[in-house]
Amino acid sequence: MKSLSILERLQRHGVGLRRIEADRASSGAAESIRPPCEVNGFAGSTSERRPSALTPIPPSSEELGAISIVETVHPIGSCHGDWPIGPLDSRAAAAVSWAAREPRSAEVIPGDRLYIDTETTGLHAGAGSLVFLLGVGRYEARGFVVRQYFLRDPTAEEQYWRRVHQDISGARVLVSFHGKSFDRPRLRDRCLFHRQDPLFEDWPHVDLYHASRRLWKDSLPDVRLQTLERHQLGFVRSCDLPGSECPQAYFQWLRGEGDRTPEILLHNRLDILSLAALECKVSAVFEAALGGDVAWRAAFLAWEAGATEVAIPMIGNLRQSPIPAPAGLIPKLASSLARRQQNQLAIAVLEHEYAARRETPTLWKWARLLEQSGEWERVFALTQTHSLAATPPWPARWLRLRGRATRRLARPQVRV
Amino acid sequence: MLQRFLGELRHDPERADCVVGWRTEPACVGAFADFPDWVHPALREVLRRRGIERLYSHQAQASQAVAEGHHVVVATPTASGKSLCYNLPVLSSIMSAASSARPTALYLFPTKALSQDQVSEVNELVQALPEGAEFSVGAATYDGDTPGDVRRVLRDRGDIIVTNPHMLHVAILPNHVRWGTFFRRLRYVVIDELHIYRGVFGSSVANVIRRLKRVARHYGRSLQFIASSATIRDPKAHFRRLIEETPVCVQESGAPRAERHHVVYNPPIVNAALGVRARALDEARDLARALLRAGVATILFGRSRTAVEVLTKYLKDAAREEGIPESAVVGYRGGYLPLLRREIEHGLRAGKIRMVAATNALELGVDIGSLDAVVMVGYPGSVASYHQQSGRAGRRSGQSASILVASSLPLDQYVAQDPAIIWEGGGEQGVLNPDNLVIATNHLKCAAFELPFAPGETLGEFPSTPDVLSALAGPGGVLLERQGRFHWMDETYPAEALSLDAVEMDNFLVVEEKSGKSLGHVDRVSAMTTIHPQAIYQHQGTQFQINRLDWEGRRAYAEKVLVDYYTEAETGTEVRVLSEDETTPTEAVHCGRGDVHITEIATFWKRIRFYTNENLETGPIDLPPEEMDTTAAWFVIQDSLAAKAGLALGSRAGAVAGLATLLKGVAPLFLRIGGRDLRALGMASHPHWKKPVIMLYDGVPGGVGLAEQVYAGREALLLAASRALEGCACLYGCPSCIGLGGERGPGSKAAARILLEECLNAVRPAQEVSS
Repeated sequence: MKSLSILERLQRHGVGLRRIEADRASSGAAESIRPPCEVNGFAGSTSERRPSALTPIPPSSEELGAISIVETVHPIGSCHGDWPIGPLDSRAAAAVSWAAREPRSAEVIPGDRLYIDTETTGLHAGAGSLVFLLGVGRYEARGFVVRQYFLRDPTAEEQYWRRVHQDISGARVLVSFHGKSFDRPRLRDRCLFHRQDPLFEDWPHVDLYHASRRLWKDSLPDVRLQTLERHQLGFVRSCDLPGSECPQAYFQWLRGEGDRTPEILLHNRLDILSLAALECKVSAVFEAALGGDVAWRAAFLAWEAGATEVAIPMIGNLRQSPIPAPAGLIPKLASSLARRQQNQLAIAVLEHEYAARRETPTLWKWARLLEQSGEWERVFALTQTHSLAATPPWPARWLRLRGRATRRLARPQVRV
Repeated sequence: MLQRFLGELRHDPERADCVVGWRTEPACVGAFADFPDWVHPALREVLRRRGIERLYSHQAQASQAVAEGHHVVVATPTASGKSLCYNLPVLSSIMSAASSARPTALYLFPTKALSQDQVSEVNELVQALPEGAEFSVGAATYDGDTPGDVRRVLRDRGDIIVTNPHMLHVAILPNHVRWGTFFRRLRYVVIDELHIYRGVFGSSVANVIRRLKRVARHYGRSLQFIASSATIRDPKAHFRRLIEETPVCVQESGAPRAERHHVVYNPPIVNAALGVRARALDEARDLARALLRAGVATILFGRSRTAVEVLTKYLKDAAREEGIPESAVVGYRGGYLPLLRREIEHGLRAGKIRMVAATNALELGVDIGSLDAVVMVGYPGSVASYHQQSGRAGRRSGQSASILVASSLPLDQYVAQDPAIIWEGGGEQGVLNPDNLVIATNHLKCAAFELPFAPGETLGEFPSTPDVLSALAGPGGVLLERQGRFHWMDETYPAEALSLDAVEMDNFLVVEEKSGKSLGHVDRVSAMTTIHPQAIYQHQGTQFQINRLDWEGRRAYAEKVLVDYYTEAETGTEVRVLSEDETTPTEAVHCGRGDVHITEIATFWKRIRFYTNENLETGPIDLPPEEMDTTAAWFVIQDSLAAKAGLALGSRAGAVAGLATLLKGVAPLFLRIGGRDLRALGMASHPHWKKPVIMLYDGVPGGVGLAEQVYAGREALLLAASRALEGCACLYGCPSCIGLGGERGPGSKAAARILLEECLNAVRPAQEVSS
């Protein structure tokens, strides 16, 4: 009688023994589609011209054991796509804090900022999902330094996190893309797993995903990092391993089934460079020189953040330009302006909005604001020259408003 | 009232032959004990104010054992105050501890409704405590409905978390890092309704507990398990299998108890030659009617949803004739929408409802107040279920009765021949198998996700842990081995795809077409037989005809109709053999087991008239088949035996299908898993072997190893079938053995006897050699 091994019995029962491969025939086929990449020797030397060069994982050293640290230096002013990277000045940091709605992030010096991105073995939370690569970018005297902590051996994870804890001391602000919902909880879980203090806990956190979404959600098909790179930074990844393939590439490397770690490192490093460049781009949007409907969003964010001295001139410029604001923004902005005693500016933006979209609620809001400001003559003129939609309740409202204005104007003026 | 009914039953000459067993449990006054010293004075005061001056002896005994640090299982009858056995020591120890060292407790209940009942019970106790921070204890449910921000608070500050095994499996254990605060203090795990944890579900939960213990160990905790169970044969052994620790068992109830009568009623033989008995459903209806007339509050348990709906209709008719409001009779089954169920539960408690026909949905401890009598239409399939259902009567005081009306199924007739089986604990052997290879392997993956396996570590007592770990760490596998440690290395979240009871969650909604009102749910497997177009869908004794079934959209559209029939569907099954893993060939028969592919299809419907059971009309059903891969065990009848049994004669070929039915029928007497999980098929000629085949296969997709157990235990199974066949009085076959002679063919019983005998001969020497 044939007896079956555990392996055979499991296979017969259809118990999944193997990893589910990403939806492609084989990694080899996918690689051959990509253009060949130039492989750089060791990091740092020529990164000015080729920030995207491939660096291999250095061999393990006695000091680091199961961790590899790959360091690349990117000079200040080197371009990532069309955008030079460089530390933010206080004005730019403030602008980024408005977009990120993280006021505490405006008050720090540039070297305090850490740009992080992680590669994990799975997208879901849970104890079995590892962070195997943490990339940390930081401005130093020699340039923008990206340090990548690579976990060579999952059994050495505890030591890995201790090392990361040591290295990041002194910094205070976190910059990430999707870090609020992804990277930081994942890092927190890993540290707690090894009974270490969570990394970056309570740090001001600039999540550029949220900042970008607030600025560009109308003008881009989606707000993924690669879309932003293409449209906002003019950067197109030519030989990049997609993030979704990184876990499989890591598993293969661990088992000695192939080495795509240089590509994983490159992918992670590009993400971090994009963070630095994207942050510069976000801050630039708040410069008055930049037009487009994104300027409306920027002005609104600055106003909401209480940066009156920046917001008011921006709004003032915008209302004189022909550029329409993104749909739905003006009513919110106008209400907010009126709440904070900026009635004239509110009236102006509503007028601008009505000219662009000719929507009844905007006209009504405009007229009501005039009424509340006591501008009876303008109310009266408005009710004569414009009309609301013909469906109830608008005609009755309009008539009543006109009635109130007529009555007011008929009253004798009170002499002072 | 009940007394008069029982008196009539006992002395009715017409029914004298039918009452095949009668046992009276005498009333007892109860035994009491003082509160132990360690009970927190504030808690003792609260209980005193509620009229609890002393404890029942079993409460004192059990809670003392818990306080001494033992694992404890309390198995006393329904309504004996079991929850105090764990609430008393758990609450006391939380209240007495310094705030920095307060222990936490995890309560596991099989359903959400029961969790909510329990939380209110604990919170009522807690809220009655005097004001003061050191006393405050937080108990809360944690399930799929708990909002995200509440979850965070519970994780960090909850003292008692009440949840179900599924949440523990899919949400808490994989995310134990976030539950660190809770796990670092975890001391007690309470498992209520222990008897539910059997079969596939029990085997899965046993593995969830292995994982729980592993995670607790990671946080430096060893856990104390406390279980309560209403009715179970060997609670200590069962609990031992579930938690892999040796518990103290408290079975002697100190609660006072009223007199209780257990009656086994076997319907009369209406056709002696065919061995046909009167239908259990009809007999139960007549008994229930007498109970209704006598004013005895009664619950009837039917085995299927259809049986319950037919009964409900009959009883509503009977109520009308007796001049009792129809609303005093209700049906209660799974698939009713929650609001209706709550209304029924309330009506029962308030005494407005006098008779309820229910499926085993009411078997669990939902508090429905006191009923006087229980009528079971058919043996509920296991000794534990029998006691659970009979325990629904006489929860408080007064005389009570439970009447089991045997159906003509082989298992029921086995019980009717020897009713002592249910009273003296001759029931099923161990009912869960945590080492089932498929289940344990799947949980091993979840466990590896939660924590890496250290060198030499096993998943509880799972003996194949090292082999399975190695298999999973093979090329391209989900685990990575480094220095003897096994790490999860995959992108997936293994708990997500793994169900604990392997039950399809995919439901159909039945909607009344005109009003758009939802009537209820039907699971996918039952859909093709209960809500196919033309089917009569019964709801609270009212008939609805299904006009349209939107298979993709998972909706059935029904219309209310006034008809005097209901429908039943016939199904057909095809089996393709995928592999033969083991074979024991002899000259007469080849026994074997392996993997098969099953295709099941609903073929046609029958309209059956109420009361007369005539088949009025049939029509085709055209729905997609249900398909699955599973495991099977089989007996392939060789030519010599086929010739000896005369299977070539048309009148005898039915013996093959008959034997399959019989084997499946007696299997629950031996198997560790409930009878519905196993299916049977007998074919006069199977295309794979081109010979007659009797096959038993696992009803769970992928199989849970049932076929292996059938194969290994084939001798005992054949022996029991042989006993049942010999013990059956019919001449040519009846539903209690191989099926009706008329359907199987007149010579089938004789042929079946020859087949069984030869199969037994074939099996015996093979096993002697192997042992």
